[in-house]
Amino acid sequence: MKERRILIVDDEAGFTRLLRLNLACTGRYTVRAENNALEAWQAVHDFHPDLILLDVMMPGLDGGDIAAQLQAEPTTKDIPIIFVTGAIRRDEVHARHGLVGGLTYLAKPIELTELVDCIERRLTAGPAPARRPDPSPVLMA
Amino acid sequence: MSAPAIQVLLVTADPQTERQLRLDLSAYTRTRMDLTHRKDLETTLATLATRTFDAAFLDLALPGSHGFDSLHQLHLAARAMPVIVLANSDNETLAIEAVRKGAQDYLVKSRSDARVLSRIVRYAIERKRIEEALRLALARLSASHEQLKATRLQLIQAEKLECIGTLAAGVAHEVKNPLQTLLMGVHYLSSRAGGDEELQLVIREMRDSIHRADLIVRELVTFAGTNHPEKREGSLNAIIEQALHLMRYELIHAHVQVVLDLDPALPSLPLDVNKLEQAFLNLFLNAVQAMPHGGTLSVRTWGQPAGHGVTDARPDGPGPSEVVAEVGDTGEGIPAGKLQQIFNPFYTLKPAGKGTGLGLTVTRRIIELHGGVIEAQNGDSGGARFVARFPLQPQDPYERETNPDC
Repeated sequence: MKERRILIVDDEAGFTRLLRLNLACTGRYTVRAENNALEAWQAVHDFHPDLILLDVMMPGLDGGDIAAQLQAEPTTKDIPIIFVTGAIRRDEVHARHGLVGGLTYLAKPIELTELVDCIERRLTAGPAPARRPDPSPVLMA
Repeated sequence: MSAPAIQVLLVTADPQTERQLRLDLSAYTRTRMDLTHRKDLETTLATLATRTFDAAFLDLALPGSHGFDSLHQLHLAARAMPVIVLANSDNETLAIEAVRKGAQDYLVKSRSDARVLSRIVRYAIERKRIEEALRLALARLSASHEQLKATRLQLIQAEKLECIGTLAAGVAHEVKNPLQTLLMGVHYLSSRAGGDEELQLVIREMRDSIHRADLIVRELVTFAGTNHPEKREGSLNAIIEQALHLMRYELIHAHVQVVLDLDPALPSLPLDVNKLEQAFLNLFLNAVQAMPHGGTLSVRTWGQPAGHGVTDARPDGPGPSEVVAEVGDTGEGIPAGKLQQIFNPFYTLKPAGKGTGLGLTVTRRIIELHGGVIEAQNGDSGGARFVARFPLQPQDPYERETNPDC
């Protein structure tokens, strides 16, 4: 079975390294991590991911802006994006069945199994609606 | 149209004094004065219980009563009525004492005449009116001052909570990232530990600790961020039912039976559904944890007039002004000395590692944001009981922050 390509964009290098190791251990994914938000655009074009795990609050460029850029570009607009962030409350994500403003969110800290389940669901379901993340009141400061 | 007659009460046992005053008052023709005469304090007080007077003359030499005691009794019976004391002699010390004790004037019986008497009555009435107006203004001023102080304290409190909320949200974001890294590290170690049971146990404990730290952070953020309710008119019953629905697996797993008694006629009120759902989830979770070997969780709601004690039975009368929700369990109850403390932040009766000590604090805060109150009690037949009361017209300091659409 062909390994799916996952790009992680998050400024937490420790997290991306360990997540990459964990996802690689499943044998299902080829993973690349990008810790510099400003390089995310280039990483997408170099790596051609099947799915992107995207942090929201990063220095330099907001995850929402990266998503908006990707969704505005015909060659990248269909890449599913999962926002993985500490800036949202888990109970709110659950209450909204994982969707905030029509986009898929996971609240940190997330269990690996939960993350993998979400990745698989999104890979099956395809792209999310082309929208920026909703500046929802559930987002913390 | 002529001015209404001035109603004057005369309290004296001396027939000569009565005759003289009646004569003098009737001689004054500009405003009619109706005189009512009483001979002793007892009948005077009985009269004052049924009607009012514009002014009173009080003879300090009443039989069976000391002069100033009579004055005091008259004041108690009719505080707004000006009293002019009548004395036999011109004693300045006595006169000053009488005024200090609340008399409007001091009159020597033998020196009264029609003009002086009428002037004394009119002036006494006017002085008393001004005095009353001043007293009321002072009372209003004092109440305003108290309200101002209370509002200032509430503003300080709200500002403090706002700061804590911002701080907690910032800290939470910073803490969640390292927790996520730790969790991923734990997963990785677990996949590498293979069948080493001791190592797996260590990893499990590490993972539990990560989740516990995450729970504390989340509850802290919830607690600190519970300042801006988004209220919509709704039913407390629906919130309770939804919270129980979310708890269904825990309830089944813990062998807890639910006894629901929700008043179908419960009035709707402005509610923040998400926050109140969380408040009741906390109460239900506590109840489940208090019954490790199973038991009964009882939830009931009803409407009642304000000011009813939480232990009162349901009234049958219409028009409730508050809504009450009661959550009870059949656990061991709360130690008597801890009933108040359990709402304090980071206070918990649960075993180490089982509670954050913020659940009930958050619950109380959410209920207070709805202008309500919550009390913890022990049930008559054991178990703990939490009673939350919500006013139908909340007067809480955060009302201004609610959604204007509400």
